[in-house]
Amino acid sequence: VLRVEPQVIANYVADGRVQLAFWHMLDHGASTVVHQAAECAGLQVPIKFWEMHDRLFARQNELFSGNKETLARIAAEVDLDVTAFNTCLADPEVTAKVQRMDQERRQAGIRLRPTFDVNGRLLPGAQPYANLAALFDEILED
Amino acid sequence: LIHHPSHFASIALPLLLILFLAGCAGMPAAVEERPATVATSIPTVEPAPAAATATPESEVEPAADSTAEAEEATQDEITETEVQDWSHTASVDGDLYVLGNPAAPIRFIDYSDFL
Repeated sequence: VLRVEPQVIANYVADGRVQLAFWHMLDHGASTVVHQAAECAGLQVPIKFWEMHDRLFARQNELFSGNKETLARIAAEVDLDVTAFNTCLADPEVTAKVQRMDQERRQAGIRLRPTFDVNGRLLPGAQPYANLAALFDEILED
Repeated sequence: LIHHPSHFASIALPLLLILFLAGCAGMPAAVEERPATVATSIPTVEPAPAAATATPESEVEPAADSTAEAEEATQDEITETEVQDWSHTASVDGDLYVLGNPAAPIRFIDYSDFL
């Protein structure tokens, strides 16, 4: 994801041909609070979801313990209101949302991490950028 | 009768007088026609066509300006479209946070765990 998404963003999202969305997938014990961190960033300003998304992926080695202080530090780095962020992390509605989305993907049979969905077409497992670009181009030509 | 001098005078003089008066009356009529002729020729001197030509020119200029403005506006729109960078635009669609053009023809969903 860290290698492929920046290329997709630079070559297809930036010019408006592709929109990128994120679906929560909880595969570790500490995953829930980390995904809540992204939600809480987005609740303040939608673009902050993506800034937090990038930092959470880049710094996942620091996050396996689910340490909320680390999450608050990252929140400060992306200029969030840290007090509101910490309150949000304790909000059961936010917890319920990420857990519900995870449950929905399981019900849909999406098990491999990552899985990509391109206009309803599922691509399980990591994908080389060339595969995604070829599929995007095929759809855009139709 | 006309050989008699008095008869000649009584007939010829009035005739001469009539002819003279008729001639005098005809001259002013000819002078009045000139202005009429001049008046007729004024339009053909083409001050009017010149004015008529000027009017369309003054109308064409704003038309040219508005065309230029329209072209400039179109260029601006094209440039704006060309330079639009959607990678800093985020929105929310239901449960999903979306990055990029909300009207993009392709939606690419990443199912991932941050850990």
